[in-house]
Amino acid sequence: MEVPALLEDTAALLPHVTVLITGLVVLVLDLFPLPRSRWAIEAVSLVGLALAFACALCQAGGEPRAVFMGMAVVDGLGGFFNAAFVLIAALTVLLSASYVRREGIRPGEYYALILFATLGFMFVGSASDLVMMFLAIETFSMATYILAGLLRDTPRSLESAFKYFMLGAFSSAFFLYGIATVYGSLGTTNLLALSQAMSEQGTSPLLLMGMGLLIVGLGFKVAVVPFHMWVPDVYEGAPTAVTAFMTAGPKAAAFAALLRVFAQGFGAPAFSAEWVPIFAVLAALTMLLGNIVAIVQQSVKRMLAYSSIAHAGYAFVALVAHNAAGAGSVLYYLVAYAFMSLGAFTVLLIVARRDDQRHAFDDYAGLGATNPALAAIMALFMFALAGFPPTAGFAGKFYVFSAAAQSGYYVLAVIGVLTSVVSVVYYARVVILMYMHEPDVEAPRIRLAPTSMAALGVTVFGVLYMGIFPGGVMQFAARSVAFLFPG
Amino acid sequence: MIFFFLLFAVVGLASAVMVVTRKNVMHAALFLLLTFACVGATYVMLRAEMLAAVQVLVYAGAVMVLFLFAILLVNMPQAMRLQQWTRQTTAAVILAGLTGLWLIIATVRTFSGVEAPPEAATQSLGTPRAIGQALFSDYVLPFEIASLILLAAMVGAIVLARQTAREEERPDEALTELPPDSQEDQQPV
Repeated sequence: MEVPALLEDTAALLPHVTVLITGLVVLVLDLFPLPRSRWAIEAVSLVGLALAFACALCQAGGEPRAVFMGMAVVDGLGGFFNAAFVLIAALTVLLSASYVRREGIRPGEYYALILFATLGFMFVGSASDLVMMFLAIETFSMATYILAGLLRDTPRSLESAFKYFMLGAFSSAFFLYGIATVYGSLGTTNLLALSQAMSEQGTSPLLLMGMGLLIVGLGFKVAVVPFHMWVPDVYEGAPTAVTAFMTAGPKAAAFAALLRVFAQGFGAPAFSAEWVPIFAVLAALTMLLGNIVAIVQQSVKRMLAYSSIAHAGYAFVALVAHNAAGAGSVLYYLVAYAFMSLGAFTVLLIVARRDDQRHAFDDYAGLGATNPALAAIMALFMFALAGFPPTAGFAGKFYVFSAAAQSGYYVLAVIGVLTSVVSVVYYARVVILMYMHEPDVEAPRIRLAPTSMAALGVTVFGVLYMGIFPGGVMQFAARSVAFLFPG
Repeated sequence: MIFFFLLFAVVGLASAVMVVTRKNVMHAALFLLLTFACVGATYVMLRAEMLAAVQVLVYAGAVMVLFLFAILLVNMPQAMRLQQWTRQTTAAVILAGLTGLWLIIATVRTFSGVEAPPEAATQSLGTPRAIGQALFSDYVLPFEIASLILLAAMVGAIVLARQTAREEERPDEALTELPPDSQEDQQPV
């Protein structure tokens, strides 16, 4: 590539470059033992992410533009996802600040890895080539494997990292084999060239096999049933702040990959007929299993792990719809779920106290009496996850199910509504324990750090704003995906 | 030509099976070396000489040395006593066999009747020059992202291998000003 073109393309990826530089600065800052270096690291991360957020929002409007020889693309979909990923990262920094101090995690590596993972998400959202997609997925996976094992002295954290790594590596192999077979049958890995080559050559057994392998590879990352077995153990064992990040970030990134590969690459009607039925079965299984198994859990953290499986199922329903409303509601749902999940896990890590131990349902008994504000916030998130109005959870499910009904998938919409009703059982259990049970005798009053308060404030605002005024975000999402379904 | 291909393919596959079935890790590692060598030989036959050289240097060389070092640190007598097969072995073999069969049938059906490209067309693709040009033109962005993965992995290796994973001076609860019998949890969370 010529140097001017190189600089121009780099400038087009300004949000990515900003996050990369922030990550490197954080890593270097950690070398200087300044007295206030922790605050400096957190402040630098937040400022960098705020800049990247602004850049991403600016890019969400413009015309689609391929950069770096068609490896990446700057378009509405990428812009929306970049903004969402940066927001998730910023909330994670806020909610981690007191956790990192309490558990004695070294801040430099922790925040740098969060930022590198975020960069991986952003490249997934902007990738327009399967090779690029694979490397971006590996980037964020590598960072999250390490984050899951950060509390190296505790066996649970090690188990979490080990299981995540083994199954992650396994799923990467599927994804890579899928890329190889798609390349073998069509002669290209570029997503735009792919759809063109397919309309010329039609499908072949090898191409279908490639699509199947790609579904398996990405299915592991999204954690749809039957590729979900790793989720409960990994989410339960990882440090709680990292679990919060994992439920929001990698999941949204995997959906970004699904949208890019399937809705964009394999999106033509002749080919979507091949994968939509498979997606429909996966969505139904995921909603059923996630919600039913969540009922019998004894730990709130594990319950939320199953809840995250169930929510991936709801977002999958919108992919099955495969229309403009569906693609828009995937984006809306992912942002809504990120707010709900990050908020709920913030409460979890506060209640867990030192050494991250107290995650049982009984630890929430009487929280309404000892810490009324915290209990009220937790109750709000539980109702939002269950899908009560006026929260983002209700609006998200409404958009998803109406998109499914629009494409004629009434059965999926009905399963979705019924399983939402089932989910009330386990979400309400937390609320009942908090308000209708006697508190533990030595239960302390909890003092909140300002950063935790900020994280809770932003997530509560997000959940309520997106629930009461869903139009704003939904229109933004619909505009971002409009180019996928022209006419 | 076809004779050599079959030779390397069969030996490579057979030693790959041996890698996962041997109980002794050392034997498994040596069979893995054989598999790497056979894959490298296949690359040579596909006229990807550069890739073959990298395969031998990196996999058969560097990665193997790393494996052997790791095996040195394993408690061998204890590792030999570990249970290698579980009750799900039969089901796993059947499932894997069916998937493999499906992959083979799909590949054969797609490529039966496809002519091999003329030798001249493939000759220029495997040279170091061609690979270098591809890396710094079409694939410059993935190339840079790969460096990012390595950086993240390096940071992770250091974090996980450090003697004490946690910081020594955790903020102690006694350091805050509140009296010790206070009902409040001293450290704000």
